[in-house]
Formats: sequence, C-alpha cells, structure tokens
Amino acid sequence: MKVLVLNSGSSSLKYQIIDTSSGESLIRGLVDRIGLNLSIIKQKRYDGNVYEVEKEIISHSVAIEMVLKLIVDKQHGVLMSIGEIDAVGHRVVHGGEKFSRSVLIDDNVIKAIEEYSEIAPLHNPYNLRGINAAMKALPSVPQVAVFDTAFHQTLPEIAYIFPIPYIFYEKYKIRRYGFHGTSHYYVSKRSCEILSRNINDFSVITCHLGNGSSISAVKNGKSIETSLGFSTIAGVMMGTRSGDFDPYVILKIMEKEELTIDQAVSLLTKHSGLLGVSGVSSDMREIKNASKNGNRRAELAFKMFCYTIKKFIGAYSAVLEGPDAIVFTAGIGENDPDVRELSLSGMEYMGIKIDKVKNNSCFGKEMVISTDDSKVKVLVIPTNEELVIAEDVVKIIKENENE
Amino acid sequence: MIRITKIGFYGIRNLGPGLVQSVLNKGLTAVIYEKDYDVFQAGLNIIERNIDYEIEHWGLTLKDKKVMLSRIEHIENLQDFIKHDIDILIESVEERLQRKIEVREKIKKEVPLNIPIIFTSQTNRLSSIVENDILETKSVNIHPVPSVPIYSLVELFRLEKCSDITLEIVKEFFSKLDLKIFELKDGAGLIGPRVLISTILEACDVIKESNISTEEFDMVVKKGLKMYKGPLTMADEIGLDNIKMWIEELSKMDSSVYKVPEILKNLLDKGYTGIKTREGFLKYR
Repeated sequence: MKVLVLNSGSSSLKYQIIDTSSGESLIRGLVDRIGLNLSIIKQKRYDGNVYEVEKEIISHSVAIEMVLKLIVDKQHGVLMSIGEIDAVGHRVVHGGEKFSRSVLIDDNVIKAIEEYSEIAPLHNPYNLRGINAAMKALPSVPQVAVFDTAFHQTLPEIAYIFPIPYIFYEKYKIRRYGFHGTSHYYVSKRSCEILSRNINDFSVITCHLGNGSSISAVKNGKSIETSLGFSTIAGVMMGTRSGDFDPYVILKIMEKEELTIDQAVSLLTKHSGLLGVSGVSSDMREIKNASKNGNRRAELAFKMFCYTIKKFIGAYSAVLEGPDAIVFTAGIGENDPDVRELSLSGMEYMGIKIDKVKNNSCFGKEMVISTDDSKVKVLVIPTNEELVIAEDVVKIIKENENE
Repeated sequence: MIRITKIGFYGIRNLGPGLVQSVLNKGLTAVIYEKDYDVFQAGLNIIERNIDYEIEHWGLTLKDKKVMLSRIEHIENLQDFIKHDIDILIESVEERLQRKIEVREKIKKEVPLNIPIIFTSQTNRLSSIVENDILETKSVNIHPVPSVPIYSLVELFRLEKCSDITLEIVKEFFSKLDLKIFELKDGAGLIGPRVLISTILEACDVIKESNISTEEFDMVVKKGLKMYKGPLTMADEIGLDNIKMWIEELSKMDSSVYKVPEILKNLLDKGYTGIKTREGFLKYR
C-alpha cells in the first residue's frame, strides 16, 4: 500500500509517501509558513531529487492541494496519479483517554479530537485542520488517526495520577498522558527484534532525546511509565524546556517577577533547559563546543542533561525491576556518543556496560553499543515515526475490511 | 476559507502600537501607513520597548523579536495599501471624532478595497463615524483597552447594516489573535475605556487629596484589588496624550464627570506622556 503520512502543525504540514510493502519512504516534504506572508515548500524524493518553491499558501486546504500536485508532478513527483494513494495517516498529538490505539477517522473521531483540543490547544486544532483538508481533497480515501499519546494509555494508575487532589483528574482529566508514543513504540519493538527476544518477556528503557526529549519504561510491549506528563514540559531537561523541578519555584518566580501565565509558560518552554542553564544555545553541538572552550555553564548544562537522563534510567530500571535493554533514539540519542556515555557512566553495578569503541563509532544507525558481557544491552536505533503511522494505517484498514 | 495574512494600519497612534504588536505576535504582517516619519518611529519605539519588556519577562525571545519586527512594512501613500493587498484595515489615528471622519473619507477615496474596516475609537459611537455612509456595511468599532497585547478580550460594536461577511472576517481575525469578542450595542466608551478613565480620574483626585505618591497608589490598587497593573501604569502605557483626548471626547457625553485633571495637564505641559517619554504618572528606566 502507498500511504500518505501527514503531520499538521499550526503553520506547517509535513508529508511523506510510504510504500508499506517495503517500508520505504518514496518522497517527503514540508510546507512551512502556512497562512503567513510567503510559504516555503521543500520536497525530497527517494532518489535525491529536491524541489523548493516559495508561494502564498493561505490554509491547510491549499497546502494539501499543493502537496497532492507535487506528489504527481512529472518532474519532481513520485506517483502518476493521486488515485495511487491507498490511505492517509494523520499524526494526532492528543487522543486523551479515549484512544489507546489508532482509529479510522469518522465524525465521532473528529468530535473527540476536537474535545481534546481543550487539553492540547497548541496541537489538536492544527492536526484537525490537516484532517479536514485531506478529507476534502481525498474524500474516497480512508483516513486514519495515529495518536502520540496512545502508546502510553497502558500506563497504570499509579503512574498516571498526579499527587494532587484527585478531583482535578475527575474535573479536567489532568493526568500523565506522555508523548512521542510512536517513537517509543517503534524503538522498543525494533530493539526486541534486533535482540531476538520474545516481546512478552522483554523490558526496555527507551530514551527519545531530541530537541524535545522523553524516556519511557516499556514492559512486554506496553508502556508502563513515561517522563512527559500532562504537558510537554515535564521529565528530562530539554533544549529549551525545563523538565521536572520543584513546582513551587515557578510560582515563586511568577510572584517575584509579576509574570503572567503566558510569560511563565514561555519561561518554561522557550528559555529553560540547555539554553536556560548554559545561556549559550539549545543545540547540544553548540553546548559541547562552548564547554570544550571553557564555558563553565555550558559544561554544567551538558552534565545536567546527562544526569537527568541517568536519574530516569535509574528510576525506570527500578520500575521495570531490571531492564533487558536501553535504547537511545532521536537527534541527540542517535548521534551523540558523549551523551550516551555520560548518561550510563557508573552503572556497571546494574549490569550496564557500554563498549566505548562501538559507542564512539555509532552515528544515526542501528547498533548494539554495549559490551558482549553487558547484562543490559544498550542500543542505538534511529526512530521512524512515519513508518509506524503508515503500518498502523494498514493494520486499521485491514481490520475494518475484515469486520 | 478566509485569507487573513496582511493587516493594514491607518496610522500608528493611540492604541496602534499595541495592536500592531498583537498582529506581529501571531505571525501576520502589519502594513502601516504613517506620513509623519517621527510618529512612525515613535510607534515603532513603543513596539520595540513592549517586546523588550516581554523578553525581560521571559515572554518572548530575541529571535522572536527579530522575526516580529521583520514583518512590519511602512508606506507613505494610502494607495499603497492596494499594492500590498491587505486583508483588513485598522484605523489608528488620534482619538478625535473629526479625525475619524476624515479617515473615513480618505479610505473611501483612496483605498477602495472590499475589506473590513476596524475603527478603534475608545470614546465615540460607531454611528457617529459611519452611520448612513457607504462604509457602514463593512465597518466595526472595537475597544481594546490595552496598549500592549496582554489582555484577552475586545469589545466590539457594529451597526445594523454591517454585513455578515464583515463580521465573519473580523471574528476570524480576532480569533487568530486569541482575543475573545464581547459584542455590545453601539455606545461611547463602553465598558473598558469608561471604567479605566473613571479610575484614572479618581486616582488623580486621591493623589491630590492624600499626598500619596503615584507609585503608592498603583501598588495599593494592584495588591489591594488584585489587579494585574495599576491604573496609572496603564495610563502611562496608553499615553497621557491619548488619555487626555479620551477624557475630552467623553466629556461631550457628560462634562460634569469627565474633566481633564490638573495633575494630568501639568504632566503634559512638561512633555511627559508616559512610557514613550520615560516619564508620566510614574518614572521609567
């Protein structure tokens, strides 16, 4: 099947056509600055053919129409006809408690996604724009919603209820939801395959470390704990997001600096994390360069980042009662041996032994980087969220056909 | 689908800078018509200062500032609004009924675009500006009290002949700005401007009678009444010259209530207009 995978943001639309028979990405692209003065479209085909154009795109509907034209473009496209698209998969950030798996989109699903806009105002409304536009442009093609939160719906109550009055869960559904679900699912499943283990007897800690980061504990194929919570600010320290810290601190700062809620949110999401501590950058490469040049705060930021990862790995090892494997994925996880090494340092007593040579040679490829005698295997696995979405689309469509 | 990407501003006085900032904040482009370069620059300075304040208070980043300021386009000929293909035109001139009427006439003559026109008169009825005029169907009036985009609601007024499409576009626009609309029957100064002006007038009386400082007054109101900002700080943000005009325009409705206080006159005589001159009721860094 050829599946069009869409990821709609507030002013952007990422797309990819995946041939699920081979798992290959045929074409991928990004429409940026939708609804702004001048939009930018960048597209790359499997053979390296690149197409870039700037033009006015006033809405997601227009963006989808444009994408469909580009996909069948004789010079830069990859399909001969739009009719070759068998299905569309939409990344939807928040599926709340209702969706623990992907679903075929109908009016009820749209209504539910709309309802969850209340708790994901920065994501769900824009995901819906993409869904509505794609349904209008491809009315006879089945469309499937794949939720970022779905994989974590298996979290037990003790992991998802916050230690605040229970009434806020009942009134506003304030609880841990977790994000990056498709990524954690993919790398946990893949690590099981690589190690030739039985999924029903396999525990793994998955570290998705990018500009946004999260760590999950996955037992027997199910997420049982994850570091992101109700929002995407929680958990490990990130590029510009704080991660966990004493919640009273932000209340005190708001009081002292007379900050509004918007300003406080911006402080935690745009000014914190690696950037906030180092004062240099949110980019790990720049942090490390500055650190090498003697910038003490950059060094501190780097060490803090690794330290928080180590703390979560320690905690989740306890939750899993001993993991079989630890996986690093996403931009930093796949490409930064220093982060991997420092995050796992001193954990030999837990059976975690990293092979420095292997670790230092691993950049953006699948590899086991632990020593042969390491009780806990350590792996690097490049994530592939789009493939998960495409495969889920196929699964859901087949299930529906059978029904 | 309604296209809203470029917003025209007829002037950048009164509450213009705050509205421009709101527009830039949401990724839209502001095309500003202002013949007087000094006025344009003064407006720009207010916007920059507001953005810097937000950066100091963690609300924005330096990168945000750069991107936002790059979305301002300055024009000196009204007809250039046509070239820039604006989607909405916002009037932002001095708070004088006569000026609003002049703007109405100029728009008719030189900007014959079929787009909504948003008047921002804080103290005049929309009917006084466009009733029985050809612009009546595509005009609304709003009362955005703030001069900086931290508030979440605008009061909106329209006349009976205002077209549905005008209202639809205006609603879409304010929804893009994350501003809720509260629709009111046409009136002068409802609700925000009148409450604010009354509070400022009361503040001037209290200061005169009690000898407390303006800083103390604002502090007591802020902490005692749990307001986000004191009324005198808000007046400084809006501009004391604007506040004086608001009071004078409202005095046409009831001259016994709305009188320009001595303290305000004295400050303006000294050239202090608030934050933009770094001194008003309060002093600023």
